[in-house]
Amino acid sequence: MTTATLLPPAPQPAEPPAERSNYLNVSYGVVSWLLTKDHKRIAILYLISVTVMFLLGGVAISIVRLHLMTPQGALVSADTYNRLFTMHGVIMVFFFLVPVAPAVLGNFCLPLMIGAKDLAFPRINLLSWYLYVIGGAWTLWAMLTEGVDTGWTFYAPYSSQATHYNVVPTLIGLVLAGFSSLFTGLNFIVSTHWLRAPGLTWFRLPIFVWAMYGTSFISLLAVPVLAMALILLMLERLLHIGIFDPALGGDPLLFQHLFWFYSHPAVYIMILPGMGIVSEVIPCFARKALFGYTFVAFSSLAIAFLSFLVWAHHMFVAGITLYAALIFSCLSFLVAVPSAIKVFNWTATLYKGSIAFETPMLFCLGFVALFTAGGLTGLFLATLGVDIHVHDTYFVIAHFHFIMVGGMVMAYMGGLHFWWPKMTGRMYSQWWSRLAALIIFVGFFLTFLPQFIVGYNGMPRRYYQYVPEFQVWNVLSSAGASILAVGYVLPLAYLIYSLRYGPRTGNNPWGATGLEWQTASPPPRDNFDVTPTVVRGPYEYDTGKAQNEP
Amino acid sequence: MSLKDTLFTEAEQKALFDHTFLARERLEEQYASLPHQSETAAFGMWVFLATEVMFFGTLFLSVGAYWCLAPEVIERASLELNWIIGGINTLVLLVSSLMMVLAIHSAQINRQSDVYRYLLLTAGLGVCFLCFKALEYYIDYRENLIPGFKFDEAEWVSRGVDASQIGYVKIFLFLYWTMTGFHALHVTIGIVAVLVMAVLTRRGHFSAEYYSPLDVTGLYWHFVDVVWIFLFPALYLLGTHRL
Amino acid sequence: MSTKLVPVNTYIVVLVILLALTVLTVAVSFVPLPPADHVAAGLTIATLKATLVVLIFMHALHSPRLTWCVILVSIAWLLILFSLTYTDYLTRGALPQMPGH
Repeated sequence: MTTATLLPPAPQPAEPPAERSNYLNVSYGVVSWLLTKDHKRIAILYLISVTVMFLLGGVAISIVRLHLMTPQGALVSADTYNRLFTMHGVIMVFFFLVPVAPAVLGNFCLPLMIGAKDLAFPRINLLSWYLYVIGGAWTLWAMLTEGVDTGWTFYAPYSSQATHYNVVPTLIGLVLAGFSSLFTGLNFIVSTHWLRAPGLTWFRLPIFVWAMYGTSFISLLAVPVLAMALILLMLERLLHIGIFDPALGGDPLLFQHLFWFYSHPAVYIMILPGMGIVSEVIPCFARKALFGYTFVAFSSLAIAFLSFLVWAHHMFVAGITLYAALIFSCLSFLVAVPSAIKVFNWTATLYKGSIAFETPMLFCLGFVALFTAGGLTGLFLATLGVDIHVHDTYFVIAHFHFIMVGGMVMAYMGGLHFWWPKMTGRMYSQWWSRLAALIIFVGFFLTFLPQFIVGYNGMPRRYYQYVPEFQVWNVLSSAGASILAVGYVLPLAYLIYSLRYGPRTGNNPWGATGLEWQTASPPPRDNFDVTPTVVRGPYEYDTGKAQNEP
Repeated sequence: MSLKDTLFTEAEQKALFDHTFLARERLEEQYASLPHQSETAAFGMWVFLATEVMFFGTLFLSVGAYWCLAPEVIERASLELNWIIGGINTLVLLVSSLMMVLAIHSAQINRQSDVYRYLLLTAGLGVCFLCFKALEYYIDYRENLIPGFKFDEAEWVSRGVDASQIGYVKIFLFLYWTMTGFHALHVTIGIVAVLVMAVLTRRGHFSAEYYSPLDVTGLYWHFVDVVWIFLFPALYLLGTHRL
Repeated sequence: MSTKLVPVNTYIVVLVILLALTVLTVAVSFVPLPPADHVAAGLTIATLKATLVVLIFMHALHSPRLTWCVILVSIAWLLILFSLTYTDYLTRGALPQMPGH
């Protein structure tokens, strides 16, 4: 008889787990990136190009802010000043704010969120990046060689006849970039309709997807109008046939109508994705289901719809008839309703939630505060009587920067920090990122709050010099801008650092419920090993099933 | 009845086709099946056409805006356009649309040689349209109807247009050139697409089960026709013609 | 494809109607009418023709509801663009302009 001693099997020496095949390591080399059809790689390509554009636009406005430290403006010549703020506006609007959230976060997350292997038309997706890059390079070339001094609005007849700068090349670049966002929108709409995973009904979609749907909807219907308006402007400039120039019999208001038919909805192209991001982040870090899901979802579509009915509020003092102004003023107030619905629902989601102040959450709370302030001042501008007073002043500048920078850039940063572990498989420094969120918030307030005050007191926008009474506010604003600049450079540093030295994260570091968190980080080439079947809504944080981290 | 039809049942043919190199290559990984892919492609084209509606809509809007400001002048300018060639071209495009729809019909009943023939006819009529258009542009050139390039203000004053309103004439003609120019560009793209489809048909790429690119090209071609249907009255028929 | 097979005769009948409507629209342009009526007549006939092309030639009639949504949305947005812009153009001179002008 032998006594068998049953020993537990000796523990195997822990081998480093072989790195899973993911979209980043499935192939290497520049060509594999430049010819990729993978939506995740295209998102990374966009991320790089959009960041470059953001920095260039930032440099341009930094010089402007420095210049405005003194009332006489001693730094740059008046001509350079005009070209700098135009460069800032054109780059930030057309090459940063419009593409940033759809093309980077949307491209990366939307197929994951709907459980698809890719977007419906991957080649068109790649084409849209090329259009963006060619348009961007072309516009940059035009603006860095000679420049444009029309402002980002290109109002005729100044842009078509008077100015002697590089208007036509800039416009060509803008038309290309416009088609880039149009193709992205086309892809998103078609994919959301046709490529949802089994069981993923419309009311199980994350709000981010609804927001992207609304954004794409606006892109599709508004971009062609802008493209045609800019083409007509180019033709007028090249051939000297008046279509907008009153000296040649044209009607300059027609250009403004067409321009704002795009550019007002474009404001919602910029802000809707931000609302989508916030609707993902707040439930995750409040550990509560989004309050009033259906209302938030439909308010995205309502905003997309209403955004098309309000454009002439940019033209109240441009000479449109009183009748038209009245109609547009009334319609403009309507947009406040769905926006307010969203803000109330986010607030209600936070109520009695178990709130964790992680970095994405800090950015998104900043969004809610700044967006609300920006939105409320928008109501001042929609009011006919008040608008006549503050039209084309720094009040307008401060208002739309509260929405665009305070709102959208904050939300984009929140989204980027939220999905960064998913995109790269690495985590960034929590300490530095919280600091960055704080710096951006403080810097932002210091930059733009004084602008409300000088604007209300009558300082017009785009002026090279100003009366000495306004100097203290302008110095405050410039000081805030330098703080803001630090806040934007910081993430660049610690995010790049995290690529190599950041700790590896699991599939679901935040314990979030979205479909994108159920696949590996970074996701494999085909997104999911098995096409997921969806049986739940998007924000079931209350049920305790959320923490499915192995 | 082809040899293929006598040898294999319809279901077998479909199974065979689904396992051929061509079929597998065509089905992109993000789709569940070929019909899924085809319907998505058609929907994508419809959405794209919606953007085209806004693209051309902007130009129609511009014509309308100037018509609101000076209806009589725009009407007078419209009378100088060549409605005969415009009308003939309307007929040409309508017939080409029929050819396109017959090509798709033949694809649905799997008569590939007919598909090829109808596609060539479609493209041929498209070329015919462009030839007429070129002729019309030439006549416009002869009649000084090109603002900024060959235009005679005195002629228009003698036609009864107030000298201060010549600007509207120029704008209308400018829009006429822009609109017909963009339309001609779309026709050209359409012709190329139809010819590509013809080549693919010839090479046996399509079957009754899968002819999605053909379908999508058809949608585009008909849309170009629809644009012309509106262009014709909006540019050529604004005034009262006299025999 | 799920497209329903439409008999060839339908297509040919539609073409004949389209050709006839083209002749009609040209004929109307010879009737002395005020400018607004010419525009109205031309656009009405064009809308009829376009409807036929979209419904029959583009197979919208047998298309899924989604396609109908796209068509209706594009028409609706065209109407938004036109109607709101013309609130300005059609009231030029009818009402005073905004103060300050």
